Amino acid sequence: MRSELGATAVGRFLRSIAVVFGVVTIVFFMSRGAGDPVSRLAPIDASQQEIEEAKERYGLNDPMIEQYGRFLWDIVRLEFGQSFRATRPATDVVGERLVATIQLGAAGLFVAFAIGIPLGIVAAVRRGGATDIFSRIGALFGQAVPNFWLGLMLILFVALYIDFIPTGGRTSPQSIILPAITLGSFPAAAVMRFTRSAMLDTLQQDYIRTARAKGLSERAVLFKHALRNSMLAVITLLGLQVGNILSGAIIVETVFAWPGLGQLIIQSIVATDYPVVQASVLLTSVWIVFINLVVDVSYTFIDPRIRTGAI
Amino acid sequence: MLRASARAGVGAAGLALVGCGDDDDDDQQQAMAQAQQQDQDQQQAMQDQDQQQAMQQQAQQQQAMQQQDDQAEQQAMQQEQQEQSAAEAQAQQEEEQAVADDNIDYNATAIGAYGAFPQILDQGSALARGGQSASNNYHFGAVFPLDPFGSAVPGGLAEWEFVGAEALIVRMNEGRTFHNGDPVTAEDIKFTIDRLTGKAEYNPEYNSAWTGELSWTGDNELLDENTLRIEQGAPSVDAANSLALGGFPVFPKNYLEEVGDDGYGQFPVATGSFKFVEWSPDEYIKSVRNDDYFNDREYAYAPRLPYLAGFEARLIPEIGARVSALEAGEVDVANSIPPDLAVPLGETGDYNVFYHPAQRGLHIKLPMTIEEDPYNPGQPNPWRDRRVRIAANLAVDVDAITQNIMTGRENYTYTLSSGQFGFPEELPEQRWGYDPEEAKRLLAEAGYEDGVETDLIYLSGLYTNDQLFMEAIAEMLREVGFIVNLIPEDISKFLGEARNKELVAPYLFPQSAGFTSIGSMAISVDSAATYEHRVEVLSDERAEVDRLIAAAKTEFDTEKRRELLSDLVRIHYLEASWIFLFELVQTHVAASRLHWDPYFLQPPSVELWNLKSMKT
Repeated sequence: MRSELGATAVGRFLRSIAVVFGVVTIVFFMSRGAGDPVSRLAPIDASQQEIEEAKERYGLNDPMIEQYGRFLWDIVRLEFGQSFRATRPATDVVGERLVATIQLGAAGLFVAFAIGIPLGIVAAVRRGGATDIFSRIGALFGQAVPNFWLGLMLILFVALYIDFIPTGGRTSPQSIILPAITLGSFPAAAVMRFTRSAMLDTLQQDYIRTARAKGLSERAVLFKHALRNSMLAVITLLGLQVGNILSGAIIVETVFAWPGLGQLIIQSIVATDYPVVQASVLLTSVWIVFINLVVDVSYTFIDPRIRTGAI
Repeated sequence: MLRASARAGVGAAGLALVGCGDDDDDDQQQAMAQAQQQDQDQQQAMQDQDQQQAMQQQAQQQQAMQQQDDQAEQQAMQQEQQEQSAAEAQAQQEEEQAVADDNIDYNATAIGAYGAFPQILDQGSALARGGQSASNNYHFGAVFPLDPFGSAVPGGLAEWEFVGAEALIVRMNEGRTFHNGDPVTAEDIKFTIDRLTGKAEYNPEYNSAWTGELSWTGDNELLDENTLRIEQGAPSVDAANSLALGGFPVFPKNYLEEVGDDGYGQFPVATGSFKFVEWSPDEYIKSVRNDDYFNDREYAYAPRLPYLAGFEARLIPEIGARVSALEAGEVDVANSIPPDLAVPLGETGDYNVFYHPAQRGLHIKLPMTIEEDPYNPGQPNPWRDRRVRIAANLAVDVDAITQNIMTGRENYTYTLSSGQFGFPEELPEQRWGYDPEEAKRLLAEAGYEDGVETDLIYLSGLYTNDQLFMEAIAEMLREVGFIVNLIPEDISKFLGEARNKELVAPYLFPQSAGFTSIGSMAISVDSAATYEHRVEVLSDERAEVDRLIAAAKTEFDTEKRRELLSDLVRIHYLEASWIFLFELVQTHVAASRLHWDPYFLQPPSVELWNLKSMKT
């Protein structure tokens, strides 16, 4: 049993490495196709000779395959070179922004689950009622409304009228409120729908009927039996939403001037700052893959059927 | 005392005259003598008494006089103190009145929102360009101040003297210090020039943003601790002006060698009117007033001692969020706001809209140095025909574009701006106006009745409303017969292609800002300039333009230089070498609680040294 679990974990780990390898390879070649960074970064009146010297210095005149090999070797050593713009190690530049993005991502996930799970439960329990209908309409809006638009609307209609909430930046603890709501709105809708559907499915199971027949309180039935068994689907969603949250952060950070990884990636792509783009994308892809790996492995603990090979 | 002695002498002489007689008379004489003696004793006693009284009187008088003197002195002091207090009170009252009148708050800190931030704060680095000018150039101060016409003026870190066309002598002024308190020395100026021209020993590979501006420099030598001689490797009348350009940085040698390039990029110490305090990349940059700044608030040129005690720059990339932050009172100034958002804000009365002419003439560079038509191989390049170029200029209604798409305050560009040194004042009378019928006629006359096929390239998203006005221009050109394929391009791709001389189509480009008249012409018009089309063949007029630029660079006679520049602009414009468009105007919005005397100079941003206060 334990060896099966270990083999599963190792297999998924190897698959994760393959995914990361694929991602960094795509990023490497795509960033090279985005333009010549030296032309962008050199002084406007730099001579062709100066441009060539700079390219030589950054190793951009080497054959692409050689650059790729060097890039892979650097990754193994966790070296991403110097940021073209910041003239510091790319990992330092990325590391400085990581904290802000983790804060925002965590807050966004909190919003998503804090809104999505209760609404999903209520919608399932009162299926067909007003709460259910409004929840589903809300979920539709949450998934349909682009977060940059929602962010601007929140700034215009909330931040401008409530002094306590700033329009952007990261200058005070309350600065995170609006970006977190914006970021969490899309996954909240998904969480609500998943929770509702999982709860509906669970509530029709025989063991729920049995629990009720035993005379358990409705509260105990819902939270001890139904919700717990519905969480498997919701946890699956958590892994997916980490990716959504990170990609959403790219836009939300720009709208709210949140100095995180998303904003950095945008700027680095525009400036063709390869080292920072590569370090950022590698870091986020590793993070997403890691979370999904944890989710996969956690199934085996949450659902005994997976552990026992029943499903 | 003298009076008592005299009286005693007179009495003795009188008694001697009375006592002349016989022995019978001895008793009488003795009695008389005794009586005289008694009289004398009495007189003496009286005299002594008088003397004592006189002395006492004198002492009393002296005491009284002393008291009077003391009293007078005390009164004088009191009066002086009272006068001084009154003067101080009056001064304070006047100052309070001034504050009340002008709303000057010397302790105020302003917050400005910007759309872009630099990644490093080293003004000398090419890597810092793009955002740098809008965020932290106020930390830096040039060697000499600059007047609004682009000429160096006295009163900076140093004074200068030309040694003909051979060298520039720089003599340091006393009392100039860096933000860390170290004096600014001639050695620092030498180090600065060496660093910016790639000659500094500690890092010859430094990626300088100022090599072009300092291309005139040759070797330099410290004559003494206060004097630097800079050889003019390539003689230039702009030698001193180049050291006065807005944002030109002067570096502290000792500090920079201690912290290195990377350290300096994170914590700059310079000579500007604001001192750097701290920053968080892509978040904020905090600065405080440099109270030791050498040019006071009344100095004729910028920068000056700021009124603001502090300034915080915040990055808010999204324009709508920048405006919202202004409306919420979180920031005091929002930079680079498009006119369609800025104007309604100004109309509320709560905000002031400031239009900053950036002296960057937008134009479309025409491939007139390429011999063959790239779209019709084997045919001559139509842009080499002056009639085609004039037709393109006549086809574009620049005023309609500025009025309807831009702010309406953009000036038409003639290469140099009106007011810039060397601008030929009569040139506007010869402006290529909007005349589509004449444009069609000229095209037909040139043999292009069926139109001129061309791509038209522009950098997408670089300027406010650029897509809109480029579509308008393309449509106007199509109206008269040009067959235009409008191509938006990414800046990295575009710059690479332009540098490599791969572009064969007309393309939108800005006149370079931050240069003197000659520098601006050299970098924008000279056929050898970096972003010109490749040169296969020069017309006589283009060759003349290049010759005039070279001549103006080394003409030290001001009037002759002015004439050379005027000729240059005249030829360039009348040859219709570009499609001439308009000078960019940047729009900033500030809360009306800010007191601000606009005084624009380089760079294109709100001039913080003129912000005086916030009315709360």
